[in-house]
Amino acid sequence: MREMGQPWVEALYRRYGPLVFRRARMLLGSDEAAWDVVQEVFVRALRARDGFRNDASQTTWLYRITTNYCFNVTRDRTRRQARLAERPAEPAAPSAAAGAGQETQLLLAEILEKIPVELCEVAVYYYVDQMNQDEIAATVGTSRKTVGNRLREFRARAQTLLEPESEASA
Amino acid sequence: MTALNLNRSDAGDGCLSDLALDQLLTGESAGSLAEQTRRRHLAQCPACAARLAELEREAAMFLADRPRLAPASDGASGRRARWIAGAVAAVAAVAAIALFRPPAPPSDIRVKGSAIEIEVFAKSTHGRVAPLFPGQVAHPGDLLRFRLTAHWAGYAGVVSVDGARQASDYGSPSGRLTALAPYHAQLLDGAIELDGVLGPERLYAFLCRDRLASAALVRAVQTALDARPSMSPTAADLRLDCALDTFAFTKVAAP
Repeated sequence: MREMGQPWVEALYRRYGPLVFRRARMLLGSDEAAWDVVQEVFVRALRARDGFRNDASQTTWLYRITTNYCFNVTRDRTRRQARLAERPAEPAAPSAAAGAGQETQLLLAEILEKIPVELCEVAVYYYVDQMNQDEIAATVGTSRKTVGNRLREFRARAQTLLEPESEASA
Repeated sequence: MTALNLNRSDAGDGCLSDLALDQLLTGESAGSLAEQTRRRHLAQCPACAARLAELEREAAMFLADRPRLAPASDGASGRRARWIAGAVAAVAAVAAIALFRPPAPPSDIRVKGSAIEIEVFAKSTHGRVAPLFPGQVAHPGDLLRFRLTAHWAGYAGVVSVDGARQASDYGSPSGRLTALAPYHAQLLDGAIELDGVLGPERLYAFLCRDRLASAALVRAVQTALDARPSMSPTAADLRLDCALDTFAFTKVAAP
């Protein structure tokens, strides 16, 4: 038990905490929410300690788990807000650096309701993270061809979602 | 809404993604051919070098402001103190998973997140018990158990979609959803033995306001699957007033 204690946790956190925080802040749009994601992701990593250590790339593993957890948080927020009779988004303490994240968060909330999660995940890696398709394939654990297909499908669906806004702003 | 530029060229510009830069920063690619290639690119690309410097600055700021993994005697906020307790408790929880009886975590581990969260524990045919994490593999014959944590009082069930795109009830031996109290991790009764259908499998954990029959959840998932066979159903597809968490793993033949 001693070898699994705080020194290992501390090392893990120092090494990977910044990227989890940055990623969560980008996707959720607030420092407060991002801190909570850091907490949750590391609790999950600690629980799955053996699998985490044996993974070929712990960075891609953390990208994936953080992304999907942020999707869940976003979906849950959307549902709560719908129940609250479309009140404005819950107040958060945004940082200047999180501004772009808030924009991403608004878009995410919309597309997650209407586009399958497999497509959303690949799209975030491609359009937000600017990964190439080989990197996405390695992160998701699928073929490059599948990544390409999912991106095409996402583009088609997203264009449909964005069209009304484009017309309104024209 | 311009956060996603759908006009990005598939060809890319050859610059390094944040993933590649993170792998450099964490030292994960140290000594690899990939690292040499990335370092060469960085030496020639001011934009990527600037982005790497930005990530280094952000990491330094994070570490300066981070919660400490030590007792909160140095003024850490209450929320961050909960992180400390959660991390240490989680280490203990992992070590204690034995006899296929996962302990309930301390109630202060979870602060925000999905209204329902599923954790999966697998017992192999060799008797080894371990948490199953999203993306990992399981084998036919493995026994799965589920622990659910709800953020409001409701009724929970688990539906699986296997590699043959068939939905089935995994979490309701009685045929009705299980009542959950908020913020109390509850291990569902019974275990599911994985059958021989191989391939990607996705679990849907539901938390509903009403005590539905579990068959209603299975029907909703199967209907959504049949309507769009190549996609996983979204919350909107399912048309249920339920919170949802999903968990994906892959079933492969035992070695």
